[in-house]
Amino acid sequence: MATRDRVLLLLLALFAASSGARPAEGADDPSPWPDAIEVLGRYDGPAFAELLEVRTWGDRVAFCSGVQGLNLYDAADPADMRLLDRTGFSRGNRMLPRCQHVVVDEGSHRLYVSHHGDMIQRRSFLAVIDASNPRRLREIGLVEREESVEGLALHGDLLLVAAHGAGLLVFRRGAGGELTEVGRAGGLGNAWAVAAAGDHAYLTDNGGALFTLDLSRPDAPEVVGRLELPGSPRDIEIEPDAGRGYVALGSAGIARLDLGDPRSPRLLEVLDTPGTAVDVASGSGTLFVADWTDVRAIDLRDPDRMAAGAREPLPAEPGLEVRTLGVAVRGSTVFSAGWRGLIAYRHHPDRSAPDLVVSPPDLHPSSVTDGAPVEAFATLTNEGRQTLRLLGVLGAPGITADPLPDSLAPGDRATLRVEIEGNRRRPLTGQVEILSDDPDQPRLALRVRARGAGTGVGDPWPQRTLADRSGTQVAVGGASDGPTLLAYFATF
Amino acid sequence: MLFGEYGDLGFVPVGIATGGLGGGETEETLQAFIEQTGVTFDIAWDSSTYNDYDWPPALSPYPRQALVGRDGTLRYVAAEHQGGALEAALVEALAEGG
Repeated sequence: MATRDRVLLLLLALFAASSGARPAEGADDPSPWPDAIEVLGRYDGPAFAELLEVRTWGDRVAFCSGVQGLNLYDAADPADMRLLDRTGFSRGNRMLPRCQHVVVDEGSHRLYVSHHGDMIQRRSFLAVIDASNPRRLREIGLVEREESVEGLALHGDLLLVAAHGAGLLVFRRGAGGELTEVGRAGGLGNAWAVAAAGDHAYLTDNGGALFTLDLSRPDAPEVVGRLELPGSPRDIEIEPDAGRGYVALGSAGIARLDLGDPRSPRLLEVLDTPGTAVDVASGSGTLFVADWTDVRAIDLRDPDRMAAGAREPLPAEPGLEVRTLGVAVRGSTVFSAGWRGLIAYRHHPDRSAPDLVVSPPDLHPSSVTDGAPVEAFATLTNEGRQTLRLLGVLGAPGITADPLPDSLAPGDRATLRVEIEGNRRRPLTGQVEILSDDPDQPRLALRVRARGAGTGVGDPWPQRTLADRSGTQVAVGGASDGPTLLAYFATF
Repeated sequence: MLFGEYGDLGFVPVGIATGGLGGGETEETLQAFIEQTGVTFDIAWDSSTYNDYDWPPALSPYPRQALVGRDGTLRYVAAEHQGGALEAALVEALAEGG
């Protein structure tokens, strides 16, 4: 990795830095409604964290960070969480250690970590961390792999690894932290996550399937069932006693599965979620979903159908897009995070409240530099189970908004018109605050960014010619037979 | 997933590999990434158009998404992948005929 890259990433980290633990939020909310998912506390470390996966373990919480390795917290009091220790790995980038997934063996106090390999650390690896002294995490084993390793599960003395195109890898866990491959099964699509119960493994294929495998012979795991799934399957949670499974399907929502017969898994229903469902965790009759921009509770108490419950938006970070990729549960306490640090929530399934959702979350109207006022629109929806009272709307200088209705019944919508004054010579950035009795967001900020110099929505995007991977010039954009999505990415 | 669902309707996704921060990525790292993620659509190397857009503010420089409609106008820009919002914009762009 080039020095300039490191500097850029560190600048990003410093940009997001904060100065230690923060008090619980929401204490001054004016809403009369009790919050169904209340924030108990959060731990913001001294630097950018980027949650990738979170797991509970007794009073402790293990947190996989994209740039700070494996973090272990004392969460006995979720309102006052403490960082016990943090560790990187003997392979990979020392400055920005990445921990992709983690599973916990509570009996041996060991944590098993995967890293799928990227630009910063090209080879993927599995690491074994001894946490018998939680204040001194210690790597006792590590194996580099040619395959890209992703999701993990424990099964007796085995470690099961979903390894993308390589399928399922089976390792024997040694007493000293050794990992010895004993079996594998290929032809499982893009293997992403795995869970195990009884003699079976349940593996998600990100291409749109679930595979069940017989593990009675770990040296030769055998595919015994396959089920097509919609969306892009990621994490899987299983409830063996109930014969149920739940799969995060990306933008398709959540799937509920009948796993009573592992050889014939059945799709019972799909519940769409507004965001992108990435991770799931169940407890106390509720399925919690990391749904990209919020943590969402799904009521499982009715055995015949899932019911959308409360949600808690990730805390807004000025100028940043929120994102969460992980969720874990311990009783009624839920843990998640976004870019910064660990957040603890308490779920109250008996509570109901209004819930204001504004779409889109940001407004990017046309340029105002030409002297004419411009307008933009947002849709306000009450996704809660109580009537939402709208108390007012406040615009920043140069931004005005039409009056709102007094209230929105559950499920109702309203359109908010925002106008940006047109005598500005420079682009304008500001926000509109929507005041309501939503207990989560009594002052919801709708960001407004009037156009700057770049190409924005509504502008022509002329045809360009780009080189494909073979060097052939291909025409992109401009008028064409169908919409074109340009997805800019980096591999790290 | 969207490609599979809407590809037959004329939707064309193109992955733009920008080379990463500082341009340190190679064909080798890109190939590993493709194998890891199972990407099936076309990918082009390009770092020249990234800064053409009026992107929303965001911490991370990636991903970035821009949807160009059949008429050649920009219909959607995002500094994060938000599946629901992207799909809504895509459905609208597809519905506009052409």
